[in-house]
Amino acid sequence: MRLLNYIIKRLLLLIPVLIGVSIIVFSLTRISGDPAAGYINEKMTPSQIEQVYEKYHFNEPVYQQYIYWLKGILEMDWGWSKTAALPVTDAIAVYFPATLELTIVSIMLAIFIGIYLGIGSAVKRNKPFDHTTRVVSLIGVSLPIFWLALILQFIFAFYYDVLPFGGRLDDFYYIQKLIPDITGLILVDSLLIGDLKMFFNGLEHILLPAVTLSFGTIAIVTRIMRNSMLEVLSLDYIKTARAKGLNERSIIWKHARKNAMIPTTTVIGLSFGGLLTGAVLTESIYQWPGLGQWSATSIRLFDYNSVLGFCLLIAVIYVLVNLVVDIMYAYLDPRVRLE
Amino acid sequence: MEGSAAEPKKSGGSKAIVFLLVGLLIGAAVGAGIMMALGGGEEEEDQWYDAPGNYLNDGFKLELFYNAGNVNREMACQILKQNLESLNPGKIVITVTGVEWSQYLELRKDGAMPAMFLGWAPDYADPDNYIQPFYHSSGTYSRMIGYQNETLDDKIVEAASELNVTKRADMYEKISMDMYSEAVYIWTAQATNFHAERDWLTGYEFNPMHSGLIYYQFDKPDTAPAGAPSGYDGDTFTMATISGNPESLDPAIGYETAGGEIMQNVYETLLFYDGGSADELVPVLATEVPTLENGGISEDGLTYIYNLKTDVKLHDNNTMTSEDVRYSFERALAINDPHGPAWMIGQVLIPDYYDYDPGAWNDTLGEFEPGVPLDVIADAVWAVDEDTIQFNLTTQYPAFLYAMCYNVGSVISKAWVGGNYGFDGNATTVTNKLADDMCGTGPYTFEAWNRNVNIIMKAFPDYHGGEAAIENVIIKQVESGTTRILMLKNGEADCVAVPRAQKAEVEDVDGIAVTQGIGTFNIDFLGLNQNLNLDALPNPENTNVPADFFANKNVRLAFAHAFNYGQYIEDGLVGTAIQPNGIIPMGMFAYSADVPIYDYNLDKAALYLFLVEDPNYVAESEAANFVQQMVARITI
Repeated sequence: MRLLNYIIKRLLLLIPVLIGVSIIVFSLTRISGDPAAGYINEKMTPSQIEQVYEKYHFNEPVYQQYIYWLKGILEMDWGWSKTAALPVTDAIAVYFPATLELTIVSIMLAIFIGIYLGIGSAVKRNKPFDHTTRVVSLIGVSLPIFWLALILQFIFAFYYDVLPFGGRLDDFYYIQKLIPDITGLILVDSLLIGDLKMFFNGLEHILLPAVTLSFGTIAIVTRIMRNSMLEVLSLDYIKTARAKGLNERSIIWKHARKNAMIPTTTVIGLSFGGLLTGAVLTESIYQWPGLGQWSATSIRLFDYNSVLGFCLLIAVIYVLVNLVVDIMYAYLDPRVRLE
Repeated sequence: MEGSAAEPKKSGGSKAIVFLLVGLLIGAAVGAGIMMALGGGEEEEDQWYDAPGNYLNDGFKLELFYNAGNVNREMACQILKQNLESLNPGKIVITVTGVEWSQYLELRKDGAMPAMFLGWAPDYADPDNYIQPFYHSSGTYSRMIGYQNETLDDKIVEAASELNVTKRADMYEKISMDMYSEAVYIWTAQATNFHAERDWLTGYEFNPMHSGLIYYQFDKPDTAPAGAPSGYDGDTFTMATISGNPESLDPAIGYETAGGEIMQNVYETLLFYDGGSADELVPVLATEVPTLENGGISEDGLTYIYNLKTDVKLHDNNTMTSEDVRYSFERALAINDPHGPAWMIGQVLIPDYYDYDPGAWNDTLGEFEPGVPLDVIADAVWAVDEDTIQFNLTTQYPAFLYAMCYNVGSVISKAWVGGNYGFDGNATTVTNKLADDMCGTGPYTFEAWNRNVNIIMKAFPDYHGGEAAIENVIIKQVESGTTRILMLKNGEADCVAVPRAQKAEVEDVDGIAVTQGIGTFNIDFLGLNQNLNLDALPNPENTNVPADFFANKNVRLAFAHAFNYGQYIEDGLVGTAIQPNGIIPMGMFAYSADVPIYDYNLDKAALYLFLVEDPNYVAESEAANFVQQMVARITI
């Protein structure tokens, strides 16, 4: 019951956060230039340009424009996304599942590999394994993602031709219209309709972008996990456990790991939120039709409706992710009280 | 054509002359120095070419703007800056400033931009589509740069309505000649095409009037040819293009090329351009091209009658009748989207067309309210009988046949559209069925549009011209140019859009066929603002010229000769352009090779800046001598 209260309280906090975010972003879109720019092209006549101003209320005071927009948001009319040629709400429904799927897969990779490597290098401190992971992690955080993406694409899609260049599925599935529209997550949907071939095809497609995206996160998770593991391993209760004669394996994996996970959880949570907002470069190189491409194009084309809708969505995601992380704390460390 | 694009370099001879003159002048200067040191000779000061009262000697300050991120425009500004400043260093000061797109538009709207970058791609292959907006006093761009010329207006209107083809071509040539000496615009580049495809693909033909590709042209072997990847599919044409969604698939609304390409493959117009020709038209849904001789066009040039093919199936399996044709035109004029292409037909079919508002969804009535009233449209477009359609023009306009070839002239299935022209709505949202669905008569049917992923089409088995050779067409959006090139090299795509800057990566590659160098109809201009709004300048300290600086013909000519066209085309456009000689692109009807191009010549630029006050200051006979002295002066 206390947990439920806590969640409700946190969700209510979302309202002022969203109002604050929307005011800031809305003001920014109006400060950063003429909001009509996205609707005007070089072929328009002055009277056509005038019509644009009238149609979108751009000639009225900013606070009034904000009220118009807010009213629309509440009525679920988030405006028209020029970039997607769809209403903003529909555009989010189109692009979000792709980003969510990619994020989940790459964060899973990051968690499994990162935690394993982190624990391993803490246990084998200053041994070759530790040095190797350190170097690999350093490379991981230093590599520019667009470079890594292009190189992986060049090696696996072009040179060895074993993985696809990009996209979410082979063209065949689009041409034959075989893609189900259930959750929008292709890996889930293909399993739901029992098409294993499609599932593996989707897996093939998600592999390169997921590896690219997780590379940096793996590096960070590894380092954080290693440090907190070392700290925990030097604590008294571990000494006690060893003194009691527990075997090393259960000390590390059962007693130490859970406590060492606390700082790592924060990092993973933040990375998850970050990845969910879309990875512009990875998405554009692998033609992943997610939020990153959409938001980047919207910004470039002055498509402010999309930018605003996107920012609101991101605010909600971050608040929710933080909420989940806090709940995870309570699970990992019973001393943490959710109030 | 290569010759005209080549940079007019100074010949060895003129270099020698410059060298000699420099030598003489240094000698003279040294001599003069000695004389002056000895307290003599002040004759030099009275040299007529040092006279003040002109922009060359007095100098001027001007600020040029480009939209930040547009490297070509930035380069064009820098070229002008460098060349003009070299004419009188320190006195002539050009500031080049990059501004955000929104500020760029603002400056343009306020008339505060001295030199505007303009680009024009044709709507239909007729010179009037270029001349009118840029030269007629009511044209969008002439107004933007404050250019008014009533004598010219009359000539433009006359040429647009002339029915005799030869006479008409002469009229346009005359206008082009006149405008060459006026230099209202600096014509910087006419882009040439660049197309790269796998060599197993056959049938490609470039036409500057196509929006992208015509898939019906293509064929490829059924079985995998040498060099094909394991997944080769002879039934599917795969194109990897730049990312960016079409704005709309509705031919009454869409006015850009991404959507245009899909429309021109799914919909058809009554006539269309013949293969690679932008001049010859062939009947598509009509049985023949209306002419004066066959009676399709009336003697007065005001009535156009098209006989329709009788065996044309629409994608909803109905047979096309004149009612579908009539309805498609009614729909475009009823919607009358001000940002769309409806004006192309409206301007000649509807009296006082520009007085009508756009159509809109009326929520109280629950129906779509037409922009141009239906009874007015009914006077203009008639279904004479089941197989005949008639258009009544308000004025003679021979370009009408061509204007009808734009997507706005697409024939849509009336039965499929349903009521309210396909619109539906409630208090907050209005939807348009045709924005992302299509039903026409073309060789391909529209199958799916997956946002940011692909667009899919399928060959229409009952196509009236015979079923297309390739069954499936998939247009994939691939943002990264490098990835697209790899896909082409690997055979993952049959054809890709290659960024101009990366074209060398696909030239001379085994298995890749490249077509390039043919002129498109896209022309880039610099518009010189004759009515500069000095009050709206963002940095007034960078400009000291009067508002009518560019109203002076000689200033405009000076700028035209100070632009290094060859350098711009080679470095900025990686050679994929030619220097145009005016507003009518090479390859279009009424283009004349006799019209000269502005040569890049700083001597001339200096001369024109000097002659600002009085073009007749130097008599013709003295001009040559004058130029030589100018050269000497500049070299110092």
